[in-house]
Amino acid sequence: MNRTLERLLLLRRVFTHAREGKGLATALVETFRAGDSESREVARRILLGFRVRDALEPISGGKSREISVLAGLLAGSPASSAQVVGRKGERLSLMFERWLKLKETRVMEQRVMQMRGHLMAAVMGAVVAMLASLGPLVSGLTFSQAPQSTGAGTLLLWSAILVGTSSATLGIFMSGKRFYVDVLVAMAAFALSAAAVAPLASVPVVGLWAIK
Amino acid sequence: MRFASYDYYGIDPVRLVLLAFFASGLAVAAVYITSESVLGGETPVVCLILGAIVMYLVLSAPRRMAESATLQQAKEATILAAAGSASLEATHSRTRSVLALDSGDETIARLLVASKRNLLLGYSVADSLGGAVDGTASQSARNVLEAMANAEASTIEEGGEETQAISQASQLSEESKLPLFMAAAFFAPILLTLFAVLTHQTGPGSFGVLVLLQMVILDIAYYVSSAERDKLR
Repeated sequence: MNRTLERLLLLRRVFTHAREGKGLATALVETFRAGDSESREVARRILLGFRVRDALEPISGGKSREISVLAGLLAGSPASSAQVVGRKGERLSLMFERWLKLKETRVMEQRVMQMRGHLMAAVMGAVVAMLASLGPLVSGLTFSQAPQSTGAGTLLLWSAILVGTSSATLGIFMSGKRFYVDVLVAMAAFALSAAAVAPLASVPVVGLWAIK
Repeated sequence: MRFASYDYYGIDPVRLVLLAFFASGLAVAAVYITSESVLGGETPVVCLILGAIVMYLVLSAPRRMAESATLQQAKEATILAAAGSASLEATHSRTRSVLALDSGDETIARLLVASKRNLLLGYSVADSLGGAVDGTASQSARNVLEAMANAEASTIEEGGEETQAISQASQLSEESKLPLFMAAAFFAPILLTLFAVLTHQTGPGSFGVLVLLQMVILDIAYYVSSAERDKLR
């Protein structure tokens, strides 16, 4: 189970105990001693006589805003009423659980999107390599009489730059920091495709006028 | 003509339109100068499309920013409601409850600080929270603050409906825009390579311009498509 979700469930149990009238310190020790190392640290701190606010520090200072808010609510309970805070906190934790589960679903969807991004980069690399390799052949079927300015090697190089920049942008969008995977996939597909199509590119071109 | 997002940020629509024209003109001029030699007769069409997109991006920037702020504040509203009602129910003092309120959202936190200062200066709770109510973008946050100012603890309820509605709308919008970016990223290098091959524009200078043009196209597509993703993070 997700660590944040696990802590949220522990905190909900504490809120339930508080709503039922149990002491906060007892509820925290009973609930948190069964959790991960940071949760156990909370229980240890309570047993050592720390205030609730200080005891909750190991979990309230983390990345999760949801856990920080619930811990903050719990820490503020001595100033108001533990029972009221327990009731409100329980309801809030249910809502946060819904949000966290939505986030989890989103993370799973992102993984699928990353896979799609890799596939797209590979197909794009292969198609552009084919076009660039066959470029001299295609431009030999000249529709205009403009002379060709560079050879196949230069065309391949510049096409590779086009594929590189496009796959990098695609990677940043789909995979974030791991965008280089898309670039590598696109470049590998580009190289393979260029190597496979190279024999075709060396076929001598017969001009359209000659056929006529 | 009035726009809620322009009002929220205090932006003068005329000035923003002028800024949009300026940014759009700058983009058009840059693209025209660099790509005219390569694109030839197609340059005005490409410039027109890019100019229109840049203008849309500038004009819609406040709306996108306001939507992000609304979602953030709507999330904070649920937390404010829980903390506020717990405090109010326990202490039965609106003043003490307002003084105990705190928020992770920068705007709400700033408004709460101003409200607390007014409270300490002797203003009533309703008057103190009045400014905060007007300064929030989210309806849920406004409702919670109004309830704190005027009503009993039992009426301070926030079920996260606005957050859910905005999240769902953003997700739908993201799903609609995703194919746009994918099409741009997939077809831009293919079509530009084909263009270079068929028009014999395969020199380093021409291809350099095509690479630049691709980066501009992808950058715009990325910006248009990623607004919702940033919001949902």
